[in-house]
Amino acid sequence: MTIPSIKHTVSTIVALIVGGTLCTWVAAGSLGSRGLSATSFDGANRAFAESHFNEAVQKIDAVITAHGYSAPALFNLGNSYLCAGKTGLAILNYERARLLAPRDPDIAANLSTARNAAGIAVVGLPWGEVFSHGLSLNAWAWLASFALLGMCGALLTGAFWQAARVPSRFAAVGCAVMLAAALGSIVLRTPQLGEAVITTKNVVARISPFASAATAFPLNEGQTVTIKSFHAGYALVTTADDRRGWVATSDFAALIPAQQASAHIPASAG
Amino acid sequence: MARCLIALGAQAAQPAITARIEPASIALGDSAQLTVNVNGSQEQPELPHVNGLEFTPTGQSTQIEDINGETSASSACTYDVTAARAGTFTIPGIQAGGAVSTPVSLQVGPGSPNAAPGGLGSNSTALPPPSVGMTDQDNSAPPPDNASAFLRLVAPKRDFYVGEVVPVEIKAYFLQSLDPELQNVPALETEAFTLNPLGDKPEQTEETINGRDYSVLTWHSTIAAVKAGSYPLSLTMPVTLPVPVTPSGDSGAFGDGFFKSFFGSTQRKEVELHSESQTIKIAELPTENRPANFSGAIGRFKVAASASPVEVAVGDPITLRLNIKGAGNFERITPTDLLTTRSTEWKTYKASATFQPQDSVGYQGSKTFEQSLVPLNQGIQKIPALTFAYLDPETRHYVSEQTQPITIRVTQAPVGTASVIPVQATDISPKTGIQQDLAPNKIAPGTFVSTLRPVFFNPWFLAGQLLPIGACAAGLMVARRRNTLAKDSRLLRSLAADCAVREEVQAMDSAVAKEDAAAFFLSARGALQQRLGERWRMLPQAITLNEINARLNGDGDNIRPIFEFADAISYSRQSPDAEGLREWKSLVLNELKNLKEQNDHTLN
Repeated sequence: MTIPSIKHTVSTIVALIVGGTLCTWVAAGSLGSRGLSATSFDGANRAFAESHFNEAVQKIDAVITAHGYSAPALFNLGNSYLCAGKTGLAILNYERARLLAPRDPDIAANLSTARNAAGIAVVGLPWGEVFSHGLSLNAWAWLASFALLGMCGALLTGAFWQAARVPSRFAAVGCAVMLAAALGSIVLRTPQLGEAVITTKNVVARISPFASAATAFPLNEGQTVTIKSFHAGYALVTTADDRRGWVATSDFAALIPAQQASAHIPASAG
Repeated sequence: MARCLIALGAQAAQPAITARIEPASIALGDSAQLTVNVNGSQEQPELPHVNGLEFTPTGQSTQIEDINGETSASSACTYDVTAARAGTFTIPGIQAGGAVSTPVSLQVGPGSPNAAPGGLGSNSTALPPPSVGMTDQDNSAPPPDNASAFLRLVAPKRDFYVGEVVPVEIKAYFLQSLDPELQNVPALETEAFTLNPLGDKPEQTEETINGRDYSVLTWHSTIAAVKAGSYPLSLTMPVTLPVPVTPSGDSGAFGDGFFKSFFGSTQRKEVELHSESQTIKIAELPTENRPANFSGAIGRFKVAASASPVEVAVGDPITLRLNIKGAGNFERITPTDLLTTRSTEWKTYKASATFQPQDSVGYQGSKTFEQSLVPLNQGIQKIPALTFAYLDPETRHYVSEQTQPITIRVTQAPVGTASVIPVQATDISPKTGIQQDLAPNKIAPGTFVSTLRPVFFNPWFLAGQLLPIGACAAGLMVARRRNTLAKDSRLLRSLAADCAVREEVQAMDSAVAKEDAAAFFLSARGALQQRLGERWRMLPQAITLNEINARLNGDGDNIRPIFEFADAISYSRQSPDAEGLREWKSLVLNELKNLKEQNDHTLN
C-alpha cells in the first residue's frame, strides 16, 4: 500500500468520526431545544409580582407546554407554587430546575426555603455526589461524548503519525480520565432519575397497594422518595432512611415526567 | 436501689423539652433563632405570647426511632424571633406533651450590633462616649447627705419626645476607703423609659468632692422615652458595701472610742443605691407639618446619595446608596425601599442597611442604605431625588432633607438580551410572607428543552457514540496491517506481484479478444516475470530467457516457449489464431498458478 493511499484512509476515517459525531450532536440538539417566548414569560412574572400566584402558575405552565422546560421557567414555577402554598409542587419544580441548572444558587436557596417551610430536613451530599452534581446530566453526557471522540482521535493520530505518538498517548489518557469521570458521575446520578416528590398533604405509605391496607408510615408534602415498582394505581417507594411502602400515584409526581413538557401536573412515573 | 430504678424509668418515659435562643443578645431589627427540642413526644410546642416579640416558624423536623421494639419520637422546631422594641425579654417556659422548658432571655439593643452600647460591643472601647452636655457644676455637686456611696444620672435635657433617644451618663461614686462589690449594673426604676444595656466594665476615675476622694464608675448609654406624660427618671443599683458593726456591750474592756474604732469590726451588706429622681416631660410627636414619609427619626441628620455605575445598559444593575449621618435614634431609620414611587422605568430590589457608629453608644454615626436598581428603558437620564424626613428636637420642627437627582446614562442592551429584559416594574409592589424570603424570579426564560430525560436516552446520541468507536477500531486495524507490511518485505513484494499479475492478465484477456498475439505474449511474459521476480527477489524486467535457462535448469518447459514466442513474435510475421491464443492463455494461467503456489509455500 502506498503512502498516499494511507493518508487518504486516515483522512476518510477522521472525516467520518468528526462529521458523524457533529451530525449526531446537531440531531440530538435539534430534538431537544425549541424557541422561546419572552412575552408570555414576562406576563407570568408580572402576575407573580402582583401576587397573583395561581395566574402565574397557569401562565408559566402555558409557556412550558408550548416551548418545553427551562431552568428559569421551572424556578419561577416553583416560586409561584410556594407563594400559593403548594409546597410539594414547589419543591418538585425546584428539583426539576436543578436538573437543568445544578449550580444555580437561587434554585438551591429557594429549594432550601421550601424544604424548611415543609419541615423537611436538608441533608448534605457526600463529596462524590457533590462533584457529580457540579454539572447537569446532559452536560456530563456531552462531556463523555467529547472525551470519547478525543480519545479515538488521539489513538488514531498516534497510530498513523509516528512523530505524534507520545503526545497522542498523553492526550488519549487525559481523555480517558475525563470519560471515566463523566461516566462515573452519570452512574452516581442515575438513581435520581427514579425519584419522585410527594405533592399532596397528609400522604401515608401503606404496607400493600390497596386503599384499605394498613398505614406503614406518614410522608411529608415535598418529601423525596424513590420509585421501585408500580401496581394498580400504587407505587412501591423507598424513603431516604430506607423505609418502604405503597403510595397512590396521585400523591406524587416523578422528577422526570413521563410525558413531555407538562411540568406541574403530577405525572405518573412510569 | 429498686426504688431509684423505678423512679428513673418513670422519668425516662416523660417527654423532655428544651429551648435555646441564639444569639442571646441582638440589635433591634435583627433576629435571633429559637430552637425547641421535644424528646419523647410528637406534640407541637406551644409558644407563649411575649409582648414585643414576634415568632416566625422557620423549620420543623420529626424523628421516630424504633429500637428493640420501643418507639421513641423527637422533634425540633425553629423560629425566627424579632423584637418590636429594645429591652430585655424573657420567654416563659414552653409546653409540649406535659413538659415545660426553662425560660430563656433575649436582650435587644438599639440599632445594629456594631452600635451595641454601654461597652457591650467589642469596638465600643475604641469609640469616644457621646457628649451629654454635662457641666463642671454637675460634676462638683455635693453628694447627698455626704454619703459614702451614691449614684448619679446625668441627662442633657428634661424634655423628651416619644421615641427620642438621649445620651446619658451614669456615675457611681464610692469613697476610696470603701471596697464595694457590684451586684448588678444600674437599672431604671420606671417603665416610661428604656435604657440601653450597660457593659460590665465601666470607666474608672477618681474625683474629689468636698475634700473627700471618691472612686467613680461611669457608664455611657442612651435612654429612650416610650410613652407621653411626666415621669420620674431614676436609677437603682445593688452593691455590697462594708458596714461598721458596733461590738455588743459598749462597756468593753477598754470602753473608749479609740478602741471601738480600732478594734470595731465591719460586715459586708447588700444595699441599693438610688439616683436622685428627675421629672421628665415626654411629649407626643407633633402632628403639624408632619411629612408623609416621616418614619420616626428624631435627631439631627444630613443625607447624601450616590450611585454606581452611572453608565449602564438596559437591564444592568445600578447600586444606589443613601447615607444618613448625624445623631439620633438610628434604629428607627428603617431600610425601606429608597425608590418608593411606582415606576415603569425601574425594577427595584429590597434595600439593605449598614450602620457605622461614631461613639460608644451608637448615638452618633452614619447609616448607609444600598439598593439595587435595574433600568428598564433606554434613555433614562437620572435617578430621582430621595427625601428623608426627621424631627429636630431642638427646633421642634420636622425637617425634610432631599438629595440631588443623580444623572445617569442608560444605553441599549446588547443584542440577544434586550428582548428578555422588559419585565415591567411590578416588583416594586410590596412583597408579603414567604415571597420576601425567596430569591426573585428569573427575568430571562433561558434555553428550552422538550424533555427532562437526559440526552443519553436519545437513540441518536447513543448511535453517534458508536461512530467514533467503530472508526477508531477500523483505523487501528489499518494501522496494524500497515505496520505488519512495513516489517515483512517478502509479503509486501508478494502483494505487489499479485497486483501486477492481475493487471497483466487483464491485458492478456484484452489481447485475446482483439486477436493481438504480440500484445498477448508481451503481457504473458510480463505476468510470468512478476511471479519469477517475486520468487528470485529480483527486478521482473531483469528476468530474460537466459536467466530462466540458468535458474530452472531442466524445469520450466512450459515457461520457456512463452518467453521464446514473445521474443520471436516481434519480428516474426507468424502468429496464432484466436483459438491458439486461448490455448496459450490457458497455459500461461496454469503456470502462473503453479508459480503462485510455489511462492506461497516458500513464504509460509
